[in-house]
Amino acid sequence: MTKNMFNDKRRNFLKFSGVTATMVASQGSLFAKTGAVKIENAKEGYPNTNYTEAMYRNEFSFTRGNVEDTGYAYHCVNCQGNCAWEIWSHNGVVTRENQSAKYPSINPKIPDFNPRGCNKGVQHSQVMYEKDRILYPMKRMGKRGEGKWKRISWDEAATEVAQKIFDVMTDPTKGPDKLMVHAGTGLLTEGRRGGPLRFSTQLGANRIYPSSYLGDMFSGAAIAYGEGNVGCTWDFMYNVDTAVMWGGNPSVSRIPDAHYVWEGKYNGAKVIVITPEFNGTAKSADLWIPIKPGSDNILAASVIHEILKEKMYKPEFMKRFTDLPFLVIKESKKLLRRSDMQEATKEEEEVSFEEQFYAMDNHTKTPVLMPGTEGSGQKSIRMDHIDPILEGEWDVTLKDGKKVKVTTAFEMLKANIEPFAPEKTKDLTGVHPDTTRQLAKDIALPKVVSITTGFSLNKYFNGVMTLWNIASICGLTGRLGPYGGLNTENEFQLTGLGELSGFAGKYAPRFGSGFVGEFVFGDGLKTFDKYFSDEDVKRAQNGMGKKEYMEVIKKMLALGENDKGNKDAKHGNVVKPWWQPEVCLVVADSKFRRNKGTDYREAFFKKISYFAYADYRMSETAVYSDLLLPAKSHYEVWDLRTSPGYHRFTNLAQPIANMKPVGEAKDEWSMMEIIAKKLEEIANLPENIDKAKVKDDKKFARDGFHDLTIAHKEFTNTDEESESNMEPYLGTDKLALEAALAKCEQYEPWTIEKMYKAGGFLQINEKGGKISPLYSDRPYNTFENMLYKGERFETVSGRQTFYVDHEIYIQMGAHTNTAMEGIRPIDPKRYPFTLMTPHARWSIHSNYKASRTLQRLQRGVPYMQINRLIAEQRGIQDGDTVKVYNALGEFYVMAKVSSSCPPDSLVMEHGWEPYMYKYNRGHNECVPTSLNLLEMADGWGHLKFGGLWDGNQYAYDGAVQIEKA
Amino acid sequence: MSKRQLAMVMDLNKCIGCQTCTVACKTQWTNRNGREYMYWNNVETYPGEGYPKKWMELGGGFDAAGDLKDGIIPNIQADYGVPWDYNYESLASQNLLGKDADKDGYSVLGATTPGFHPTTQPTWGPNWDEDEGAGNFPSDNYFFYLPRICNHCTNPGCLSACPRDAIFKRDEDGVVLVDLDRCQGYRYCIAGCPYKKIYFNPKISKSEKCILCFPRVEVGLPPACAQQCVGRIRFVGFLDDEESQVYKLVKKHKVALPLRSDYGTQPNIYYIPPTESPAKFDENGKIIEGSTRVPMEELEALFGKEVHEVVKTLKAEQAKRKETGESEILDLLISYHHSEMFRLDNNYYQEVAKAKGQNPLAPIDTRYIKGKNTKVLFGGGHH
Repeated sequence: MTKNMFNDKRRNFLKFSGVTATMVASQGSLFAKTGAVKIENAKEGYPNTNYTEAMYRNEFSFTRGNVEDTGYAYHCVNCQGNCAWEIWSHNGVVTRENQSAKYPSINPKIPDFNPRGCNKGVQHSQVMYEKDRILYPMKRMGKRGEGKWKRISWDEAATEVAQKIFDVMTDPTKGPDKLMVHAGTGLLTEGRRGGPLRFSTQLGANRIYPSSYLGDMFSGAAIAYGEGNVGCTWDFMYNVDTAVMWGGNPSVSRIPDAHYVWEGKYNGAKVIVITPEFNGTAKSADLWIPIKPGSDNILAASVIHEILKEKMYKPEFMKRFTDLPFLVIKESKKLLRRSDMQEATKEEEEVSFEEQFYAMDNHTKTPVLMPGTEGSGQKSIRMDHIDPILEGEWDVTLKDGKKVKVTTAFEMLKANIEPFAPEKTKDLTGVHPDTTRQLAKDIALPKVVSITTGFSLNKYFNGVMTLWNIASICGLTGRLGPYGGLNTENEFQLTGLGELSGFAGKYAPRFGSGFVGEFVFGDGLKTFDKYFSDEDVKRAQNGMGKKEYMEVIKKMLALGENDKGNKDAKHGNVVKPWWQPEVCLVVADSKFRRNKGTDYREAFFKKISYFAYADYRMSETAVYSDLLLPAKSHYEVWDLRTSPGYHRFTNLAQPIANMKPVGEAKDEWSMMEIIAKKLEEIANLPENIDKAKVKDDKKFARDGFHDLTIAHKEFTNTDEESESNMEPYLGTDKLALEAALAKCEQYEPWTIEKMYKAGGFLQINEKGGKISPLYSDRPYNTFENMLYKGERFETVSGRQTFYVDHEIYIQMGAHTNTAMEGIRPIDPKRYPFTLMTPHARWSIHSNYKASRTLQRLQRGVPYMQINRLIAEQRGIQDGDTVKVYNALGEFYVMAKVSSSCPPDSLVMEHGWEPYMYKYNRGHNECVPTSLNLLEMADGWGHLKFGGLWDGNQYAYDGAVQIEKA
Repeated sequence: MSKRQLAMVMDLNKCIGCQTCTVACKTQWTNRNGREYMYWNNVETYPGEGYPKKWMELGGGFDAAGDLKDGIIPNIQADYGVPWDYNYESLASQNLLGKDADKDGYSVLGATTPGFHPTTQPTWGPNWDEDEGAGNFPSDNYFFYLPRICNHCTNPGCLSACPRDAIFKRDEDGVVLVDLDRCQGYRYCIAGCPYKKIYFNPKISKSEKCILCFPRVEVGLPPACAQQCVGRIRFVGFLDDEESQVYKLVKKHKVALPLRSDYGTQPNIYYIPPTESPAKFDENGKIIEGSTRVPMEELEALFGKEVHEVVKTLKAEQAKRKETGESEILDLLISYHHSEMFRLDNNYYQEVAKAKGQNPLAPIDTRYIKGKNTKVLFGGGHH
């Protein structure tokens, strides 16, 4: 029945090794029939155990190989798990991986971090020798996507890239800003990632913020705290009283850390999961709240409403640690600033008076300047003699003699939140008012409460409001440091790594906005215009119509082009900058899978003349490239990784002993090094040398130019300036690893050898704690330094921000917390379903989507959950092919009929490459793109474009219809 | 009866369905040599069809009189699922462009056939009904994960069914193995196993099954599925070792139960039943206080009448923990140190080897080797 099939389809997995071949070949004689054996009782004293036992023991020792050959690695794709793995090998070929599981316990009463890993990391050994590996540099011969390639040498490939770089940089009508050198999130490490980043900075090339274009930027948290990455190491979860997973599904998409949630539950925590779908986390929770997709910001507003109404807030905390007592001019909704009250007499006061604010002091009953604000001379938020009043209304006389009514930010908050009583929002959120009240109590009343927000929340148009509102819930209930609070994604402080990717001030990176960049590259405004109606925009932007919205956006985009608006700004950035590249050198970036709308790839390539791409496998981005550079994968490199701070360990990548190379793959440092070398050669040709000093803005090049005649020397730190500054030699993955260990103080006193001996990791020292101490025996949670030491938050108020008086925020009614409906079209007749594409259990975005091992544990082709009753109504059976469509496009998937899927939504794991679908068109065909004005707003206080304040590309704003195909 | 029995306990409350166990097992044993379709370890979503499909309805095991019941050998296509492959080789050379592509290679629809596609149409697989569950969304739908390996039964159905007497139980630890020297591939064992955890290897025409990773255990490494379990749900040790977690959970506290003990095979894999599931909602969407979603009758069908007592005990322990911070059972289930979830008694294995006249194997890892015959004062290898 099955014999033929197996013979035909069987893959000879280990054909790389002579030893296996011998093992397989010898099986013929091993399995020969033996003489008659008499068995009395096979449950006891069986006489012929040795034969079988020896066979399996041999197999085991083959996969294990020599223990001393063990390598170590982690998987640096954008999953953020960061786990230490032992790599097993035989004769220089990787056989399998096994978690190192050697992280030390920091406290005997808290579970340890072992055996950190997941279902994807555990099979990289099966993928690294797969036939979709890019083994050699390849040059496109046919049309993009036509599948015609020519193998070329590294020398030819590097020369071609270098020539393209030289040409575009030295063309008088172009220049460095027409070059993009960018590393995507398939490469998130502290060592290897530095290679492409360094090259990018050196050349003045532009690159864009990944977390923004991925929709993974915690912009709402950045409003509140001036920092998006806040929260805890996940062992903190063990000792909380309530763990809220808001839009999060850790059992599926935070696999290495999920055990802390369930161990915490055994330890007494109440676990609450707020997700539209029933999932692997909800199944074991105490309370699952099935919310309507995208209404999270509204539910959060209702929780705030309940906390205010029932006075579950903590006034003393609010006075000290938030801007809620700050005075606001009622009529203009503007914060009362020192510049309103007092004329600046010195130049520096003109700026600093703008950033000083008042509260009404209970002792003196007069407005007093609050310490610790951005403009204040006092750098601590400690108040020695001030007792700010939270509620009230007063008259204040401004410097021009005008009398105005002022009130507090807290009063403004109460007014803004008033419309969101749980009864009034229940139809929008689908959450029963009793449940909302219960949720408010479970968050407000216990001692330690952690609210973990999932990355799905930022995938909705108003995700920025969701995170801000949740942060405000934490601010009202006094949650910082040991009391829990918002948990987005902690990051530890690592200092000194700038030496790898940076140039000590000689060059500065040309960062473009992530979400705006991709929007512009893909002609997002066209898609937007095609898809969204006036009503959609009005609903989501506080009544602003589509026409006005588009005009505002166009103006902002025009101001951001080539950094125009920021060049003349006196006090930091005022707009999201973007540059349109023509020549691209990109590493590990899933552009053509990820970006939304039908037209992204076409629009992108209409403006790009050359696209060189480095990856280890034939991904969707690879198949459309002009030149492919074969990259090494995780087990073939020297590297290390710390971020993010889910735990306090830095993992080591060290190849197995005598590693046999996979094709001609190179690590990214070596790749950039060889291109830099060619670039330097080209620049020094007699016909080129005159134009090889490429002019650039001093913002990006200290001396006003990039000197390509020393491109390789600069890249490797062998130029005169670097040599005299004793900068570390660079140019290979191993050099980068050594430099990182030498330069980063948090890694002291570790070495590669010590990390290897420990089991493939180091434990970062106490300097890793930035805004909290990193105690040796306690889990980490942010903001303890504010709570106990009076340190200021990195916000304009120095405190947790509830009030933003940016013009756009006032216009949007979002000067303080509010809530808005999503931009997704409401058209239940034609397009009744929300398309939800959450983070995957089976892949890290597109990484490992093509794994045979993992696909066999799914459906083998793209599949989508459809609610059981809906499927029945539509005559759709499990396994049917279904067409999913809307005004933008269509795609085809296998129906997975499920009781866990809400009737108004379709749920499919994201990350499928478009080339896995019929017509080679992926699910983003039906996903529109848009820009939220609250994230576009810039130039206010701590909301100035940069790594902490960019915005998000959204993913869940499409409404779709389905039919049986 | 074997002299000693190595056993495993799996905590279904902590199982997150990630299948790291499944894949760890696959790369350790079943990614080659005719085993490709086999899942010695699988995790199924319950309720669901399971793996192989509807395995609980396929017979095998023993009746009340102790006689072996008839059973059915599952079908590869319909019940196990064909392990489909992909066109990796031709991916790079696929033309992804549609017929009407313009000079830049752009068309609204690309080529009809996906550039990357399975070479056999997938119709069924070991995790086909993942997360689907049963019930009405959102009022009372539910599911949980049920990881399964060979139960290494004390009275194995496969062993009794084998006409060649070619399946045996190891004296030293009760691991059930197919004698690959003598197996003739008759496949009665597959019909006889009520858990359908023994498989036919078409390449060698013999049966194969989970071996509880005895070659790892003998050198001090827990079974791959257990050591590598990221949810930390699996405990491994000898049932007669009073220090072992399996002893404490199974014998002392009696909170771990075998699956379908009514099959009469006396399984040695035990489960902490899934006591944790969120409250249900009434027709108005209001929380039904005190309700849980997994029906007790389902649990009773899986784990027997004893499950009522176990659920009561676990709930009482949780209440006690909330009040006093104490509970030995929950301490065990939480397991502060991963390495202490396993007691593999390495000295014992060394003695067994010596007694057989074999070379005793030195442990390659010292973290898990403690046991009745292996006292380690400064073990653990945490450094």
